[in-house]
Amino acid sequence: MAFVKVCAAADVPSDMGLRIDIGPEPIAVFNLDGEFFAIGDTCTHSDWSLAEGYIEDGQVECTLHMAKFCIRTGKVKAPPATEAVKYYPVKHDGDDVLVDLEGGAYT
Amino acid sequence: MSDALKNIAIVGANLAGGYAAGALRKQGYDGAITLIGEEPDPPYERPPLSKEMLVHPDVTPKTLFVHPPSFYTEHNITLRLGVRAEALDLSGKAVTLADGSRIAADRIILCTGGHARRLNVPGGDLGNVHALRNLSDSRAIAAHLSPGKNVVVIGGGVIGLEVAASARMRGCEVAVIEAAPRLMSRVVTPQISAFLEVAHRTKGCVLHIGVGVQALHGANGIVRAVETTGGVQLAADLVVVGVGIDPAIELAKGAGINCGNGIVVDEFCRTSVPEVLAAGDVANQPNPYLNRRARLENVQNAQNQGAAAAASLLGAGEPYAELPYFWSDQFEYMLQAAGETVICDQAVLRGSVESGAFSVFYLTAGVVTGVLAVSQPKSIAAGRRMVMKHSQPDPAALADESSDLRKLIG
Repeated sequence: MAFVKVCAAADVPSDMGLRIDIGPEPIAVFNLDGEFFAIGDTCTHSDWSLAEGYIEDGQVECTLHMAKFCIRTGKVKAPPATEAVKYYPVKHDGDDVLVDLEGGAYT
Repeated sequence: MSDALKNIAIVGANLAGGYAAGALRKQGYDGAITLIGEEPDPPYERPPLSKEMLVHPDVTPKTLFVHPPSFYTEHNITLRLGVRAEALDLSGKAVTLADGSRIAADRIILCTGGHARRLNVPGGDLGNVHALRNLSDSRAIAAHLSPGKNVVVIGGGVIGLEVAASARMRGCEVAVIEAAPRLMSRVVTPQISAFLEVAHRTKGCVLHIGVGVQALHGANGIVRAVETTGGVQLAADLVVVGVGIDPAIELAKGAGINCGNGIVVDEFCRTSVPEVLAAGDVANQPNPYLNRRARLENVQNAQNQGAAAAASLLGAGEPYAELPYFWSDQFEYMLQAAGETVICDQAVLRGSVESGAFSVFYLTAGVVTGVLAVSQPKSIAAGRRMVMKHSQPDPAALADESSDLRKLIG
């Protein structure tokens, strides 16, 4: 388990995503009412950044074809995607958001 | 669900058919499912055919096939590919195929899609003249694209312009002929047509707008030139015809099912015959967002209407309501449009057209009825919700790029 700082909490406003590309795959960090989550950034249907997506009810909707993923688990919530994205362990330490970039897993 | 329901046939092994089959299993139906398709391939998505597959012909896009091959065996879905369905035998509860076989069917979902329109001019049947509808069409066109080749695209609609952009990206000399006074006139406003004209001309496409095709001329059966109604001769090594589709209603008509522009269905995807439903490009259905009947030729509709027809067949359906949505990739521009994007009484621009990243919100009587974005996808996500909620945002706030669109949904 190697948590690294990926951004400051203030970099991710509530209900917004931030794309981070410093690990094995790009990740999207989300802030749901002060709680931070990280999932794989690339939609599994067509290559598109989920950090750019529309956040609603704890899910992110890909802006290209409207596939939806659960921000907490990476699970598919709406087609056309059929495969989940990974979710990553996240720590919120003071002003820092830390993610275990090697710890991505499927729910 | 009736106890008698043992066999369901889906005609059309395409996006709508593939989703319908998957949805039947998801809903718990455990009888036989036969998915019948005239093409040799299992259900695939068409968007890459005019884009990635023409630009990068050696790479199979990961979004091409609707389901992995194992899906059909895992879900016990029988694929009957490469054979045309010839007739519906409703009293005999079967679909008859061109090879003489009969597929038992208590219920049928017609996802027959459409036929690409042919050019009805002299020389329209010459070699190297292609429509673009199927995987085989896309592969045939891709094989002809190489630097310096003269490609003439007939039709400045979505497919035509995507082919034009793809061919140009492959280094071809590209000309587009559009009979209407402007590009994509069926689906966008003059403001957007003008943007597309500039975009294509800047990239080196030659546009002939407001002229028709008089004839195609060839040598040894192969096309060599396109003659416009303006009397201009355009050199052509390849001609791609993108002038729309006609709904494939032959099977439905043959079975006495009510057809108009497509197969007429109600909000539950039911045709005029109780055993038969229809979905996808062929289905003509009342659309609550457009306040009229519509036959939607887009991905989201094929996918969701296919699944809706399956649920409806099993008695678990809800009235289907799809907000029309399409997207189109042309050069570096991603155009997305949702709702009514032609008719409006106010068009509110967000961003600048010249920058190549902007969106336009269409309002009628103050209510958002449509949204179009060029390389600004966040506007679509919020705009779709505005249309669905009949939002009445302050136009000045919509136009202000610093405003949070989510707060304007209401």
